[in-house]
Amino acid sequence: MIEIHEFSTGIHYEKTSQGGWRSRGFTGEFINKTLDPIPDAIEKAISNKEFAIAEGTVTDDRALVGREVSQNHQEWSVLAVIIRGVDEFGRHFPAYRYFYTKGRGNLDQLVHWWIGNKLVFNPFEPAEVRLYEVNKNKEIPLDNFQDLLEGKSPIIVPNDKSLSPLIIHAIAQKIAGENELAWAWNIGGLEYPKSFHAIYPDSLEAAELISKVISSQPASSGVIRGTHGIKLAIQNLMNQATVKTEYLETLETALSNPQIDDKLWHSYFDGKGVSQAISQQMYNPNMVRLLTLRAMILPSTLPEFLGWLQAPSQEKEHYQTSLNFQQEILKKISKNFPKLANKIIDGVKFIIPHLLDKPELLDHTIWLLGSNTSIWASLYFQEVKGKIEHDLSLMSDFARNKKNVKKQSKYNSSSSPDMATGETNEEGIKQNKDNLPSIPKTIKDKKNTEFTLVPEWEPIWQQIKGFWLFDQVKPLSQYLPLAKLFDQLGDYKISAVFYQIATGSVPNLVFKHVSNNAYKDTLFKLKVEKYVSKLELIWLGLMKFGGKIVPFYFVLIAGILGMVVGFFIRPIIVSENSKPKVISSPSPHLSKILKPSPIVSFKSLNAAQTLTDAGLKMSEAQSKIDSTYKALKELIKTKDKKDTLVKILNNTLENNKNKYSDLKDITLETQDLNTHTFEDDKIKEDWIKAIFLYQKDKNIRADGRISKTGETFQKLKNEIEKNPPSLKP
Amino acid sequence: MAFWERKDPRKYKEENANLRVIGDRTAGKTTYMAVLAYWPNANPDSPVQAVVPIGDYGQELIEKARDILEQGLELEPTGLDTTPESIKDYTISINLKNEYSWQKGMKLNINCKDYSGEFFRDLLYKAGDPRLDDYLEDCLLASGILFLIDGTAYKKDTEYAMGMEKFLLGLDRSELNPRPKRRIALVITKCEQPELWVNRYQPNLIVDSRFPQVKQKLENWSKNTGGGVNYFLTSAFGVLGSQYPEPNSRKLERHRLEGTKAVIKDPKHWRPFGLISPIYWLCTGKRHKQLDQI
Repeated sequence: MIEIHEFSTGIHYEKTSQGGWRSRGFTGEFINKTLDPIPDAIEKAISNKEFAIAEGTVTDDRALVGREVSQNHQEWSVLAVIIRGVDEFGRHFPAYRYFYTKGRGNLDQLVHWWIGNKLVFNPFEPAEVRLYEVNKNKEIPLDNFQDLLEGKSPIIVPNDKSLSPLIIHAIAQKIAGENELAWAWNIGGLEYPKSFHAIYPDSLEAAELISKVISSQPASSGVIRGTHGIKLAIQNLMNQATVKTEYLETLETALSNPQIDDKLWHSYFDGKGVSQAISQQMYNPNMVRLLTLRAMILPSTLPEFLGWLQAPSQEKEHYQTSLNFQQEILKKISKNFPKLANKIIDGVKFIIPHLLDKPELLDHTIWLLGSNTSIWASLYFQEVKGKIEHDLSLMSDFARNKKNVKKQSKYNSSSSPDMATGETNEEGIKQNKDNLPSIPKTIKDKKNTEFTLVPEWEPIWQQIKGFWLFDQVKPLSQYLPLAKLFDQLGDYKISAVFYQIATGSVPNLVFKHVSNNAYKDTLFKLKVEKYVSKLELIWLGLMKFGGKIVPFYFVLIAGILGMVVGFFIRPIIVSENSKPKVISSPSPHLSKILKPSPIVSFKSLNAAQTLTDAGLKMSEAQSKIDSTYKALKELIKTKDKKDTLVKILNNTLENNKNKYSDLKDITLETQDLNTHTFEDDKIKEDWIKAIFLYQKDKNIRADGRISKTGETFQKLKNEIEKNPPSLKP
Repeated sequence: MAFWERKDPRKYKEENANLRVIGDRTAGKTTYMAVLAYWPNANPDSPVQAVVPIGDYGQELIEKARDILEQGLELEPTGLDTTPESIKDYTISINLKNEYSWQKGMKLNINCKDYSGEFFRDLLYKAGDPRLDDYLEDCLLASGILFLIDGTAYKKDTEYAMGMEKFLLGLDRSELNPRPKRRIALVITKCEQPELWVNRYQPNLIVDSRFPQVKQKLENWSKNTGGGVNYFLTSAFGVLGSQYPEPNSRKLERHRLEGTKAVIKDPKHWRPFGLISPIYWLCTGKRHKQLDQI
């Protein structure tokens, strides 16, 4: 015996003169419920539109959608009966009546029961719980459908004869196996046909339409559920400035679903307009968030994202938009979203070696991995930087063939204690023997002897291992972008290694961060040398020479001579040999968006924010600029007061330069106040910014405006009158 | 920075807006969105270079527009979603030509949720419904509202004014502090009807005579909050003939109170009117003289 519950599409309704019903609008809730609330699993499948027929396809005839659903160990078999409803304006809409019963495997019973009564949507019919005696049916033979059964799901069963829904159910069951089965019968179209095992279209035309929809989606095996929820999560993440945890949860769940592969993810993002944003050069905040999110979930799109960010414009708000979005996600991501975090870590592991192929992305990679609120930066520092250092520390052994590059996954599943070291090597055996009498290696110990960045970095380790073996190896200049990257990120040890590899020496500025020695040192067991200019070389040679055989006065004379000569030939040397240039400065437009110092605390999430972030309403302040100007004029009746005022405000600007990203190149001038109004918009804005910051510093209402009766006016007046000595030039 | 360095090599200036379409059932909300997305780029003199619907949902609008315009079908009523987050947010990018050669073109990027008409009904007749609050909160995320009213439903002025008042109160109550500048475009639809068509260039006149109470509510709101209000006349179907124009629509039903329900009459001669002007205003805060004429 099964217990059958029901509920229906919620409408306001009235009787027609013919005794039927018509809608007076949706209620937004279900009606005629026998269970309240409706089980979550069912409600979720409905809101994911997994029972929904395509818009405009409802007909006079009845359509059925059968589906098994589950959530939190609650399982249900659900049958939706769909007919055409009409509203008071004569518009048609699909009216659903859902019947369901507990447990999976009862869908065929529901169908048997329904065939016996053919109940459809009827708001006037009172809802009731019905009991149905389970009918042990004999198996439905599917001999006529053998070739269909060999196809990929969903199986589209041609509508050449009127087939019972029980046959469609049986076909779906064959295809679904142990999975939750889903089928549709006598439908004109479905919102998500790929979420079904078998579909029986109501016409040839419908079959074509459905096949077209399916073939337009990337081929992937199996039934895809939850598509609608993923699309909505992406939509809401891209279109709202605040990030809600539930959307990240949806994405995290989808990332755990092996059926949703990269191709499908690409289709979801394209469905939101990624390719159009790129081709149409749309840089509105929604698109910036969309492309940022795509770069997180699909690491291989990072280069395209970074390339796209270089908008053909001087405008740069989109960088900040992306960083703000990353910061919002960063706040939520810790621990709760390991899959998403792993994708971002994958992105970091991928983008750094990618610089070998695409050195032109250096500036933007520095931005990505070095910006305060960048999610990639945060995960680089937490997860990847240590791994790079760790792997570098293994290079010496690896180069001497004591170590194989092993994949981590292999290591994890392996029980062999020798996995980590190359035991075929004689030295390796010796080393193992040395270790054997002591406590067996713990997992942690073992991990320490494994490469962590394989496979992404394996080609790099292979290519550079020679530098650990021989002193005179031809530099590999393609590694210069990596050296510069780590230099800018403040990771000087790693930077020094790559400078050594790329140029044969380490620039002075980097070297002094990693060594107290004068010229040479060893990092990760690799010999590194400070870059020595030709002039220094002469001087060094002379010192050596002098120290050994000749009297000191000769060295002194020679030294002075050398310096004089050096002074004259220096320009020649420098121009002929300017390598290695110490730090590549990012291209001018980018340097503005990069924070002043790359060495920042990545734990703190305090962004290098803009004044707008801090609450400055520029347009409002501008609308009152005339009264502000008058108030300023009032403050500076004498010349020296004018100087003092400008100094006070310039000091304020100076003190705040590190806090805000939009204070570069701002200096107020006394002549700004010479005429009747500010001469141009730039000057106007600069003054408003200065006033705003002054107000913030003094803890008074910060709006970038001054009125003669306001607090700002009074504060400034007092301060000018005091004319503190610290402000004297 | 020197002025020559300030030059923006992009051909377009971008203006963005996050919108909601609100109005009574059968006001023509979905039709407006669909027809906007399907804009005919026929006239070379038009300031509109292209209307580009973005992504899957943009394509869905195109399909709806085809149903309406090519097949003369009616659309299904838009369902009332349980949460405003599950409403489809349509993205459309509109490229405008430059008016003068030294100017840049403009790109209006909008995303817009097409609310179910039942939202407006519930606003009128329900109170304290958590779903209503959710919807109102969703409206707060928008920079602009397209408020659509069927121009032939002038007998509903009082009712709509009441709905409008409730809507504006609801907005105000949950308004963030400081209040962001919001714009509301009152868009009169179905202006292919002759009594509206003759005055199609005079939105204020039409609104004053047909919806004076709605207008009053909006003007008060604007005065009290500093929000922007402007009035627009539109027709999704347009008219046939220029000398003795007749609506390019076939009336299915003309309810005495409820307004007009119609489908297109001659799809081949489809020329909509006034669809882009409200979007331009919602994006920029300025009216576009040429767009007001087409």
